[in-house]
Amino acid sequence: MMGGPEAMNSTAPVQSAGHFGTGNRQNIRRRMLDTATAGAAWGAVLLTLGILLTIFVVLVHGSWMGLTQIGWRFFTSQAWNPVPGKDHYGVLAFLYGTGVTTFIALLAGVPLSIGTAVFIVRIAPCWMAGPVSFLVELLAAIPSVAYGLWGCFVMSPWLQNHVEPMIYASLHPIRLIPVGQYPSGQKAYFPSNLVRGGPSGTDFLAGGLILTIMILPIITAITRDVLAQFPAEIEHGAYGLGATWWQTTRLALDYGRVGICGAILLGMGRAIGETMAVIMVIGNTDRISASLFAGGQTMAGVLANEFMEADHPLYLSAMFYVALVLMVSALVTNLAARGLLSRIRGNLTRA
Amino acid sequence: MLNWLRKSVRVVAAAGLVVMGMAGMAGTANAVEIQGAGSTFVAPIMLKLWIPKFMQSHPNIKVDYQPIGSGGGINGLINKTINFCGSDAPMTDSQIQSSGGAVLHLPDSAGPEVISYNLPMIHQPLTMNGKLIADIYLGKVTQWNDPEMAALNPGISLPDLHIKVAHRSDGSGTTYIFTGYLCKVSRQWASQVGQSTSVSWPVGRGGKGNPGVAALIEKTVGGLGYLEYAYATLGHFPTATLINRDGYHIRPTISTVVAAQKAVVANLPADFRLPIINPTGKRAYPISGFTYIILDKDLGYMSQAKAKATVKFVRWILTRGQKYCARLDYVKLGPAMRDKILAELATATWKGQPLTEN
Repeated sequence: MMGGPEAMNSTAPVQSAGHFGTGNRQNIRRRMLDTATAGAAWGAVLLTLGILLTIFVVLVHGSWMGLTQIGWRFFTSQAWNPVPGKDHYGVLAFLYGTGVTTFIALLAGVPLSIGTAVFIVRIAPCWMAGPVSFLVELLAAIPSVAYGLWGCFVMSPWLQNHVEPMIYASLHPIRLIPVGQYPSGQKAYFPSNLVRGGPSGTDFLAGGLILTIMILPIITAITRDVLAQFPAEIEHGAYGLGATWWQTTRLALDYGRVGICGAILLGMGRAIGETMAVIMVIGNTDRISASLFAGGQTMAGVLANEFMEADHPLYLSAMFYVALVLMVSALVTNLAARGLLSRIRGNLTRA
Repeated sequence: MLNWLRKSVRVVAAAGLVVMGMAGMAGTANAVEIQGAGSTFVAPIMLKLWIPKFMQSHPNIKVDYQPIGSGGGINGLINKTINFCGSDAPMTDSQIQSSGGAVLHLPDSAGPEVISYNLPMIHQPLTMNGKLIADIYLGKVTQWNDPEMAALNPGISLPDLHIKVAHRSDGSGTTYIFTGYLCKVSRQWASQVGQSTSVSWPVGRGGKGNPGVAALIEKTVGGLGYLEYAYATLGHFPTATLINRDGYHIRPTISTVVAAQKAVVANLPADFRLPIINPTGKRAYPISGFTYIILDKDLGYMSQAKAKATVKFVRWILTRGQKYCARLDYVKLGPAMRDKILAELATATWKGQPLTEN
């Protein structure tokens, strides 16, 4: 089972037993192997950190012109106009688009994924758990452009013709809370404003739902593994104390909450960075609207759409600026979530 | 314990060597290799017809073209990483400066654009003029039965439907040409929006590429958008008849686009940096542009053999290559136009020496 060196040395007498003897060739070789492995691990870590740092430096360098010429106005303006002579760059609409689609994806995706994981681990009979898990994981293997095409030609028309008219009919007449005015002077009410404009199929809702499907496999797979590690003693103990199936399941979810939160984080990371599938269904318009049926754009989306043709210096620099904001916001959400995680973990050890 | 890892590393390494060996064998020993990049619009004819047919008759020249987008191609030319660039939009003055000050814009075919729409209840083509199209894209005309639309289409009962406007979301030469047309026909568009590869659209939704726009139009009754002619023809999308500058009703066809070239050829600037927009003439279709091959005027940054091969390839496209245009619904150059472009190509030099074909 062990590698070549041991096999060769087993034929050499006397020295084979000595582990710490000086001048032992086997020992030197082992140490060299240790050093080499540790060195390789260090190298890999430094390389990864180096790549991350390089990306950051390149982004700052590329966006320097934008940072100095646009500065903070980048975050206060939702207008994005690359026409030479009229150019004006603001990232607000794209930040909003990324936020809203990620929120929708998590809102729909988290219960769905955790439900699926609970089904696989605690409900499904043996013959079913394997195939269901496999199929859910298969979703992760589909390239995002394939999701985009499916979204564009199947999901989007289905939303437009069947789902959105239903949502529209139920929400449009409800005017609970006044929330200001439209530019036309008309008064806006919640939740009626969420469906303003009527069904379109290419909108924030479609963008969020395609992301839901894309984050499903990650969250499901990790949650499944976390739930599977729920110790049998505790489970049996819980049943022994008269807990119901649901109470025991809650115990299992509670036991694995750190892992589950980690899974949700990974899903969120994917949702923030996803590009191709989103731009096929989100409508690609640089406006902020409370309506779920309005077209939008995400930061990753505008990069994919316009980067190749960004043909004057400030435009290109503004694109780098968007990439920088995307990277920093991914970093910030990750750090925030990590802080949250360590807090939960703290509570867990105290419990 | 690590046996599986070692084995898989060995297998991957062996596979890599085999692939590299095959790639090495594929490259012929003495061929001159030239590299182009840019426009995706020209990619189908470039990759399916021009490059294979040229390489058949010129086995000692190997041509590669990467459709990374016009802007990417222009950047490649500025950074001297490619031998020629394909672009749907001409280079700006500042780009020409960054590229060394002198470039050749050589149109290789013309690209008309059509207005397509989705109104299944209407069977004859609708008629539109520049002002109406601009007003639709400005959000001033929002209903299909708007009086402005009805006035141009007497006798057609237009539906009381919202116009669902679609545009390109990716930066593209198609948008550059289309917004150039809107600037020409609408003063408000020119001052409010302007011309570029991507603009800040007052209304509508964006789709990625021609397929994205086509999908937006197709999936909603009442949809309207602009498409490249070749794409619309392949997909049999309904297209609008446009009223040109002299008031003639023009269908988008290859012959009306050639007529449009003929109309502009006399007034064309020496460097061809002008789309064929809103020309005069009885048969001239109003919205089309050139797709260009762009070269540095002096090809001194590459070897002389590569410079010669590049010029030979471009000359072949402009002469023998033109007959392949119609096969993929590209519009070929008119004869007067072609002679002018060939004369421009003949001014290309290599470190100051003329590049004569021999």
